[in-house]
Amino acid sequence: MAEPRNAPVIQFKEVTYRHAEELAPVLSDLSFSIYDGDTVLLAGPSGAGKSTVTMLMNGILPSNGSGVLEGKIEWFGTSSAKWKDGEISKKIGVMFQDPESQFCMTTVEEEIAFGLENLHLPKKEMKERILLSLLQTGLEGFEKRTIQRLSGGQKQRVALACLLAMQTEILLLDEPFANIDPLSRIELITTLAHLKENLGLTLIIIDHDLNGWTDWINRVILLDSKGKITLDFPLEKALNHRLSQFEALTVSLPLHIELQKGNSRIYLQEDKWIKQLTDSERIRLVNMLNSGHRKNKITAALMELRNISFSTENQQILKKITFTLFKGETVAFCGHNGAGKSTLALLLAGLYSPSGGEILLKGSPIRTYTPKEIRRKIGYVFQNPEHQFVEHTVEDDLSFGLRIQKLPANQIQQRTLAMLKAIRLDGFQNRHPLSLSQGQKRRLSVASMTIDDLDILLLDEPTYGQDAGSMKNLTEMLLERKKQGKTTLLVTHDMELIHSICDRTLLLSNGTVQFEGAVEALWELGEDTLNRHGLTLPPSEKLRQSMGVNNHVASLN
Amino acid sequence: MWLHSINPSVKLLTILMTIIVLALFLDPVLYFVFWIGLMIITFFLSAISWKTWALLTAPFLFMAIGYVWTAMLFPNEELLKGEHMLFEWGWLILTEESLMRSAGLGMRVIVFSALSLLFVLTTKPVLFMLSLMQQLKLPTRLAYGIMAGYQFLPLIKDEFQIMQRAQQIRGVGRPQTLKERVSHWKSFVIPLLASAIRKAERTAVAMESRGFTGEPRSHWYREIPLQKRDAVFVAMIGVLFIVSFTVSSILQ
Repeated sequence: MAEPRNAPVIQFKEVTYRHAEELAPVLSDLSFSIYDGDTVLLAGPSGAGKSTVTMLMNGILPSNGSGVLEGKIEWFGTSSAKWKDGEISKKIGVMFQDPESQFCMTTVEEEIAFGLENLHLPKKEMKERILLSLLQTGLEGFEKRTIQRLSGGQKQRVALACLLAMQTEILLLDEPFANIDPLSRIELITTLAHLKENLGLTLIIIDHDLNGWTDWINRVILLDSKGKITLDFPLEKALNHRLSQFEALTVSLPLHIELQKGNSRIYLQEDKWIKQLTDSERIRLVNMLNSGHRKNKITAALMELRNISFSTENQQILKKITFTLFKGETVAFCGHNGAGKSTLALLLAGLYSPSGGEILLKGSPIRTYTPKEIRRKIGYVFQNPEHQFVEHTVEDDLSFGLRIQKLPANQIQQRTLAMLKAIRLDGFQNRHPLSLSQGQKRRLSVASMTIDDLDILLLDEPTYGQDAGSMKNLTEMLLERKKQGKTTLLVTHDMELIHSICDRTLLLSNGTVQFEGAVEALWELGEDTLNRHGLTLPPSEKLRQSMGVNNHVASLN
Repeated sequence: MWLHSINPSVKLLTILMTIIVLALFLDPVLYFVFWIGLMIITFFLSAISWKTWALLTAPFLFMAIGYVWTAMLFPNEELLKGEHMLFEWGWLILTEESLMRSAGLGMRVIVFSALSLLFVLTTKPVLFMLSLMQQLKLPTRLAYGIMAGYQFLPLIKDEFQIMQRAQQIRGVGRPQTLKERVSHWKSFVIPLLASAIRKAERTAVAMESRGFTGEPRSHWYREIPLQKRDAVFVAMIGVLFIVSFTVSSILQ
C-alpha cells in the first residue's frame, strides 16, 4: 500500500530486552513504527515475547521490571525517557487477556471512574464520560452492576469502556478474546471496528488468531519464538508472499484464506474470493467441506438421565432433563453461559447429586456405585488444567491414577513413558506441572485422565486460551479416543471443534433442553437461532452454506 | 438505613474511642446499661438481620461465660482477703467483689463485640476505604491495593471449591483423619498462592496502565460526605455513655 503515512506514534529502534536472570533476550533488535490511525496485528507463538512488547509499548516496562532495555523507544516523536511517570498511559490504553484480573473496584461505574480519577477530571465530566463510554460499548444501564457477576464478554466490554472514557488515542489489545466465547468475540470485534471508524483510534492487536480481523487490519508484524521480527508487511502482501510463515508461527488463519493456500493470488475478502471461483472449484470445495465423517452406528446406552432436576438454595438450574449417552459417541453440550451445561456435566461425573430424577450408569442407578468405581469409569477435565494437578512432577502426576489402581511398577512406568511421548512431553518428566506452558498443561491434564482407560471422559471448555498448535493436538487426542470406541462429552463454545469431532449435540437454555440431535441438524437451525443461544456457525459450515447459496443463485442466472 | 449512611471514618473513630474509654472501667452495671442502649440503636437504626447478628455474637457470648466461670472457680487468693463473702462451699469461694470483677470482664467482651458488629455489619468495605482516603488521608496506593485484593476473595473461594472437586475426580480420597485433612489442605496452598500472586501482578499492571501512580486524587467520583447525622451519631454514643455512667453510680 502506497498511501501516505501519518505521524508515527510509537517507534521501537533496535530494542533488545532481557529479563534480569536470563542470558537470552526476550526481544532482540526490534525496530518498527506504529503510525497514527494504524490497525496493526502483532502475532507470534506463545513465548515470543508479545506481552513484553505490550508492556514496553505503554511504559509498564522497563520501569516496573528488573530487566534491561537496550535501544530506544519513542512516543509521539519524544524519547520514552523524557515522559513523566504515568503520563503515557493516558495516551495508550491496554485491554488485557484475563477478564478476571484487570479490575480493582466492585461496580462498573466505579471501575470506569477509577481511571478518570487518575486523570484528575472534575466529577461532572466523569459522569458524562462514563455515560458516553457505556453507550459506545453497548452497556447502557450497566452502571451499578457488579463486575464479577458479568460474563467474560461483558467484562471485556467494561475494560473497553474504561479505556474509551479515558479517551486514549491508542488501544493495545493484548489477546483480549482468548478467554471468551466466539459470538462475544465477533460482537466485540464489530464494536471495535465501528469505534475505530468513528473515533479515529489507532489499534494494535496482539493475537494468534486472524479470524475476524482480516477486513480491517492494514499491517501485520510477526514475531518468532526468539523474539525477532520476521515480517512487517501490509496484510495483503504478507498473506500473498509469506503465507507459510503464519503457519510456522502457529497463527490461526480464517478458513477461506487457508483454503487459498498455494494459489497465486490470495483474496482477503471471503465474498470476493467466492465470486471468482469456477463452478467446478466450488463443487469440489463444497464436497470437501461436507466430509461426512459421522456415522450413526447404534450402540448400547452407557448412561441414562431420567427427568433430572437440580437446584441450589435459591435457584433451579436444571429442569427435568432426559438424555441418553451411547457408547462410543462424542457429544457436545452447548448454550449460553449459565444455561446449566457445566452443572449437567458435573452431575454426570457424579460430583453432584440430582435433586430429582435418576441417573443410570450401564443400567444400574449411579447411587449403587462407590465413588471409587465411578472414578474408574468417568473422568473429568476442568477448564483450567492447573486445578487438577496433584503431584509435583509431570511424571508423578501422569502416573497418579495408575498408582491408585496399584498396578505393577514396571507396567506403570511403561505406560507413563509411552504417554509422555505421545503428548510430546518426554524430557519434561521432572518439571513441576505448573511450570509448563499453557498448551503443555492442557495436554498433560487430558493425558492424566485418559491414561486410566476410562470409558467416559468429560471436558469443560478444553479449547479456551489454546493456540492453533495445541488445539490441533487436542483434537487429535480426542479423535484417537473416538477411534478406540470410547465415549467423550464436551462442554464447549468452540463450534469448529463440535463440527470436526462431535456426533451429537445437546443445546441447553435456562436449564431445559432446547435441541437434541445430530451436529448437522444443529447447523440447520440457522445463524439467528444459534446467535440467540450465544453460538455461531463454525467457519467451515458457514463457508459451505454461503457457497451453496451462491451456487444456487448462479444456476438460476 | 440510618446507621449504614454514617460516614465510615466517623463511625470507626467513634467506636474506637468508645472502646478505649470503656476499657478504663470494669463495671458490669455500666456495661450492661450501655449494651442495652447499643442494642436499641443497632436494631432500630439499621437493617441488620437478627439472625446474622446472633450468629456472630454467639462465640463472644461463650467467651464471656468462660471468663465469668474461670474467674469464679480460680480466684486470685491474694485479692480475696478482706472481701465480702457471698458463699463458700468446699474449695468454691465466691466473694461479692470477685463476682463483680468476673461479670465486668464478661460484659466487657459482650459490649466490645456489639460495638465491633455495629461497625462491621453496617459498613460497606468499598465505602470504608473511600472514606479512609477522603477523610483520614490514607495513601491511595494502599487503599486501592486493599480494594483490589477484596475483589479477589470470592474468586479464591471459587477456585478452592473447584480444586476440591478436581482432586476428587483424580481419585484423591476424601480426607478422614485430622492429619490427612491438614496434608490435603496443604496441597492446595501452593497452586492457590501461585494463582493469587499471578492475579495480583496482572491487576497491578492493569491499574498502572490506566494511569494510576499512587498520587492523591483531586476529584472523587464518589464522595463520602460528612453530614449532620455523623455528629448526631457521635452525640448519641456520648449521651449513652453518660447515661450508663450515671445509672451505674446511682445504683452503687
